[in-house]
Amino acid sequence: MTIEMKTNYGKIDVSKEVVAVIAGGAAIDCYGIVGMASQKQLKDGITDLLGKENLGRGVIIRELEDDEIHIDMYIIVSYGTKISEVAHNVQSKVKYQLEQMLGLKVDSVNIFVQGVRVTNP
Amino acid sequence: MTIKIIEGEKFAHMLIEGANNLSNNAKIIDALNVFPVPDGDTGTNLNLTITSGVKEVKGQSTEHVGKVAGAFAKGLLMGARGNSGVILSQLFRGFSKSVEGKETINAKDLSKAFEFGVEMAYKAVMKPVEGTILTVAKDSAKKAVTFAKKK
Repeated sequence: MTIEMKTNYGKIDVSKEVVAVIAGGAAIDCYGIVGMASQKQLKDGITDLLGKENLGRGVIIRELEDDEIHIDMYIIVSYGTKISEVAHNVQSKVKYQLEQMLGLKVDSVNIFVQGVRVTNP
Repeated sequence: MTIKIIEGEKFAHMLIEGANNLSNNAKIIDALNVFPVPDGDTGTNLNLTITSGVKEVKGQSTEHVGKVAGAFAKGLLMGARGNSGVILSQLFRGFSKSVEGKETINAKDLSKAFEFGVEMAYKAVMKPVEGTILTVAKDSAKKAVTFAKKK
């Protein structure tokens, strides 16, 4: 369950969990995101009960045969924002952050808008 | 001569002039761009966003401040580009909600609208990152409120 990168000196293995946390952390920095939608209810539920911060929530990393990396992000956005633009911002931010922190080239960042939150002031 | 009240026409003018000012300085803002992705397009994005807002304002001539602000907010929302564009559209969404139904506004209304806009903008993000346009708007609104109270 690791993502492998080869360098001249050897290889670097990064666990999928780490990639998910970095992607999630990058996403919640984006304006318009109010939350992530859990895809692993049991795991995320227990983490919530323990009161831990859970940046990897709602992020699924898929690795295909020929080293292609795809990231699926399940987000909840704020009502009244331009959702297409928010989603686009998340894509570029996540791609940039992973390249910066891990030197990881991502093939695709797919956004699933799972919810929209209406806040009445 | 001091201006105590802003009418719809003046308000529309303010928005248009503000947008022109932004367009002229877009290059400088581009250079400031470091977050979330330092690709140097904030000025361009903001320019596109505000141009879309102004287009909406120009499309309808009205004497009503609330309606002008509403049109501006709608234009910004539809044309929002980039992180900063989305933030700008939220700031003015709150602003227009606050002045909704007001034909003219005074200093107090204006400062209140600024504050409300900031409040709205902060609600639309899980983890506000300080040092963005949000912080600038927050501090400007705070200053506007204290200033309006003094006069």
